Amino acid sequence: MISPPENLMSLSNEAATRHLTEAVLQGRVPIPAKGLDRSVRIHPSMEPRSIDPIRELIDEARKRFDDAPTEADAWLAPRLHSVLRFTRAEAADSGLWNHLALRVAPDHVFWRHLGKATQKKPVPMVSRSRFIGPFHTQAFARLWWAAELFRDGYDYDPVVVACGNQDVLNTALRMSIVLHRPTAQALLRLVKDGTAGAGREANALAKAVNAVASTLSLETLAPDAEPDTDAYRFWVGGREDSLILFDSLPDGPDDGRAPLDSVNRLEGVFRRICTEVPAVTKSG
Amino acid sequence: MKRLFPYAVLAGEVGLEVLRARLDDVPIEFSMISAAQRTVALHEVERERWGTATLTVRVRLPKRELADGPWTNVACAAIVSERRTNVRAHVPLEQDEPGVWLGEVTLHRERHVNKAELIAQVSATVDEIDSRLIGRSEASWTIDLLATTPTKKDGIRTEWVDFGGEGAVHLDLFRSDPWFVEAVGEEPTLYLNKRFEGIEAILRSDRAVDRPAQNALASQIAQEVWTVLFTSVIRGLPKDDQGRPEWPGGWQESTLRKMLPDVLPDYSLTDALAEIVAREDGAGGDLHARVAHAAAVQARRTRHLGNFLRAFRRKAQEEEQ
Repeated sequence: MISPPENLMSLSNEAATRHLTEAVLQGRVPIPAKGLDRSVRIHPSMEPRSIDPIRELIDEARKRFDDAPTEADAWLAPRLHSVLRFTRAEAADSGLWNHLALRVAPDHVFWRHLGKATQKKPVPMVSRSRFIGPFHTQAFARLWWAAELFRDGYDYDPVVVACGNQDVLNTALRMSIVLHRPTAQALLRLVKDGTAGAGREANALAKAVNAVASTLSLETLAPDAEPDTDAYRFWVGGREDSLILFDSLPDGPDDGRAPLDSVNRLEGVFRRICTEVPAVTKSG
Repeated sequence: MKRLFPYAVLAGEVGLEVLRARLDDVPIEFSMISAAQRTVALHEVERERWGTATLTVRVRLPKRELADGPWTNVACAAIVSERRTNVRAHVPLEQDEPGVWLGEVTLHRERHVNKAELIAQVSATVDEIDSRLIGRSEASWTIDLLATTPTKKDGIRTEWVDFGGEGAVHLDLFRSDPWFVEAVGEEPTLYLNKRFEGIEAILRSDRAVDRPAQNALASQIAQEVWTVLFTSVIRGLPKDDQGRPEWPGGWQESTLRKMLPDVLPDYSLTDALAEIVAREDGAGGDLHARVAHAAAVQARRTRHLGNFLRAFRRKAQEEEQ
């Protein structure tokens, strides 16, 4: 039995790829921890941080959602965001996500993302991109980025809505329209109130809005306010002194909410789209 | 705005310029801004730990076209974005005089890692619809947070490493190789092996006599880089609901766009993408040979190898005489 690491480190893509053989992805061979540990590095700009609070979250998620791993996403995303407190620049470093997935919590990746056996692949396995992959696919990066892009200032409520809908997580998260906060918030309102609540509808709406955004400047129509970077930095600094709540949502960084006027205006625009695009409406 | 739009868009050029830049409110040297390269080199050795960068941006619009056209409520904005950090900041500019718009764009260090892209975008009311996009800058500017001189590099990130040395455990397996290409993750990297005798001397030489060998070697490395990049990109292509491949964005997409015309010259870019996936899944046929050819084109093999052989033979002849 190989003990988990003490601190969160950075693990290069190359080393991670080399050790993720098919046998490992199928869970037939344990994660080669020793080999991986020879390739880890300390993150250049980050203070050492213990993995304990992260492990605590992962274990609690497992306990709460034992039969329904998919449902763990909505619970885990805001809490993971709150525990990690990365800056955007840190979160862009895939090495941290690699280390999280391969060394800190590989058990979670297997539990949440083990595929089904198919005729082509009779032995179920985890897709490599859940361990090392783009921000919208990697097991932990997707949750962190969903929380970062879908939160409304300190309010993680919209994150729970977004992560409770796998189509929002899988489709909308990778679209650049959600980088505009009023757009993201207006979309989630329609998902939350059921207008585009089912997966297929949310999917169609996101795609329709994406198409509209190629000729319409949503950013001019519904201006965003600049996020308060000092408030974000203050929140990052409070990491050591925070306690993660299991039953109620934590508060995120208080860096300003998306302007209400803008969200309201876009909500109106998107409602019209819902009535015009048949796939979004329920009967369609 | 070259695509077709169901409303009037600008035909004239939208010109974008960065006039000045300040790091934490201290002006940076003018040499760090290159209009020719459309690059701002923000990373200065003397001021590595800066917090904010403020760029003064000027956009010039086709004045007469705007005055004569059907547009009202014209608005102009600068957009700073970086894919890796999912940052996209939209900054409205103010009209200074007809056709000239000015504004300040702020970048926060902890929200960027590598390079940010700066573009200008113009919107207006057309046919009673507000905020229609009617124009954007033809070429973007690059705000480089890592470079020290303002050059826009199309090349791959390159690192000199002793493959057998400490801290290079991930390269230990390849310790006797001259180079190694890592094509996973956000940015591909070319590792050059310091341990491999002669390679550093040739590649870093500034003697004219070494030039042909230097170019030939660089070309061979480049050919392998392109081959590895292309192969790894087509293996990991995202697919839509119907299983059709999608453009992956980032370096993956630019690799495809550069190479596909040489891999499948008879296809449009989009068709070539679908075809390549079909061939990769199936027998493959001559696909690998075609990829090797396209990589060689990118690496300018014909020219560099030709020059090297010519120089080599000339030298041999001189020695005989």
